[in-house]
Amino acid sequence: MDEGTLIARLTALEPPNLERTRERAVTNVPARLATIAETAKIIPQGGFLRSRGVRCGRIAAAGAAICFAIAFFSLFTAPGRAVSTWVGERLGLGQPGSHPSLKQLRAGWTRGTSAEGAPAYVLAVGPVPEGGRTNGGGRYEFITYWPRDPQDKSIGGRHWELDKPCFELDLTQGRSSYGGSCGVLPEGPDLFVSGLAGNAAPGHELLFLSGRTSDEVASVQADLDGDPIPVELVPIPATYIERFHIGRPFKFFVGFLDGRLHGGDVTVTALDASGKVLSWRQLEAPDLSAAQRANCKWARAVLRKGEMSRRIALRNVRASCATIR
Amino acid sequence: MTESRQLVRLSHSVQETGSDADLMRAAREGSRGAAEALVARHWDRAYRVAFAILGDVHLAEDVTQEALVALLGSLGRFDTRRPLEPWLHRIVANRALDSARARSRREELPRLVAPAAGEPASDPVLVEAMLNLPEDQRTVVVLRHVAGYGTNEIARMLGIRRGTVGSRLRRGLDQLRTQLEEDDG
Repeated sequence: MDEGTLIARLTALEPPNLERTRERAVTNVPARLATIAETAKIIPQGGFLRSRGVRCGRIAAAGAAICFAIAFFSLFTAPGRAVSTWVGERLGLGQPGSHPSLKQLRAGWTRGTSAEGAPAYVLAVGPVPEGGRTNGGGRYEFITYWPRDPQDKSIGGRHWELDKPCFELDLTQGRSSYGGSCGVLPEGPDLFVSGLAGNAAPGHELLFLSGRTSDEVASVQADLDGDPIPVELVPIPATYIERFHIGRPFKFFVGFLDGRLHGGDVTVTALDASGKVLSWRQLEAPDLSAAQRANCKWARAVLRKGEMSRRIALRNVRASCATIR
Repeated sequence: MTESRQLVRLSHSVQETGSDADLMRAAREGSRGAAEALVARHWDRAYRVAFAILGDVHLAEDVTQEALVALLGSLGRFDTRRPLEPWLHRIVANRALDSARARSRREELPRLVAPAAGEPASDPVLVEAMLNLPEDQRTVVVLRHVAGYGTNEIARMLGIRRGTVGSRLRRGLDQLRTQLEEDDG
């Protein structure tokens, strides 16, 4: 091959999907810049606190107090969470195809090329019912990510297929993540229920079920001892399947029991377009307090054995053990 | 016409026809439209550079987006009289190489995605051959023949001597040609 031909091939090299990637970048890049600008307004740079003199010191202290108050308000009060969620939505966070609102939940755990080191992506969003004894309100974000360390491993006695994409369900109002699992994508008529999960902080109980089905499932029904539970079935767009290397098409489902926890069995059924039952699962409604005690015990064992980085393991312990009754 | 409508019209005309310097100044002052215009204007070449280095469309997309976020986020430190593209392409090339090194530690294979109908096809054989080049040669070959920079510009971008650029380019092209001939044979 002569050099002219080689150079012509190099010059003509075109990456695929140029138009689509450009369109995504035109949306994503300015949205992320806006997020960074908003964060910078809340977190002052070092120069601010290095100001000399008593007056500057007082201004710095007052600024720090205001920042603390804003952070406290936005993290620990219901109206504050609503405001921060609203701001996040305006900035494009928590929308399908972009980063989740609660990126910090997975900091240090996900892998990728972004500066934040947390390139999880939202696949679907929807509302979480308000009211009752639930820790409800806000919305759910069904997310995917690839783990930072792509090795199969046992962590705390549970097997994790970390060489495959992982999925989690975030509840923005509860600022928590549930049902994390990696690599499970049902095939054929199969149905995967990632389990019944809940938040059993005192006075705030929410029980929900979520899971995944193959693409051929047309609807999912669920009931608690014959009492129907509304279930939403969301097909994940093909563009996301390709972009996030998920491997094959699937659907995600979620149903909220809205505080109606009284024991009994939950039945989940997958049906095709003609109403024919393809698959079903029956689950015993868990004792949430016992489940959280077990989670706390697991997180402490992982920390003790050093099976995750200390920072992540400590965060898991705080999240799992903080709400034990 | 009200004053605000005039401002909107002026803003749109800057975004469509303004120079990079105008757009950078507007983006620095917080104009989302100017940031969008800069991304749209510079995406294609930057993405080509990342793809040529990485051979993976998804990683290339991530890297290019990260580079644009880094660049547009630090416009305050940039002299707007200087051209934007060499700066952007240097960031893209560096980040793409970082990403390629991280990937090689994970022993992943690059993923080539079949182009949609009507889009120009990539050259997977050439991309694969590029991935076998040493990083320093690959970067120079990409900047010279994919991005279209001259030897002097590449030397300035990478902070190396012009002669070094020439020798890396020569070795890179020779190795590419040998490899493509072996593949053809």
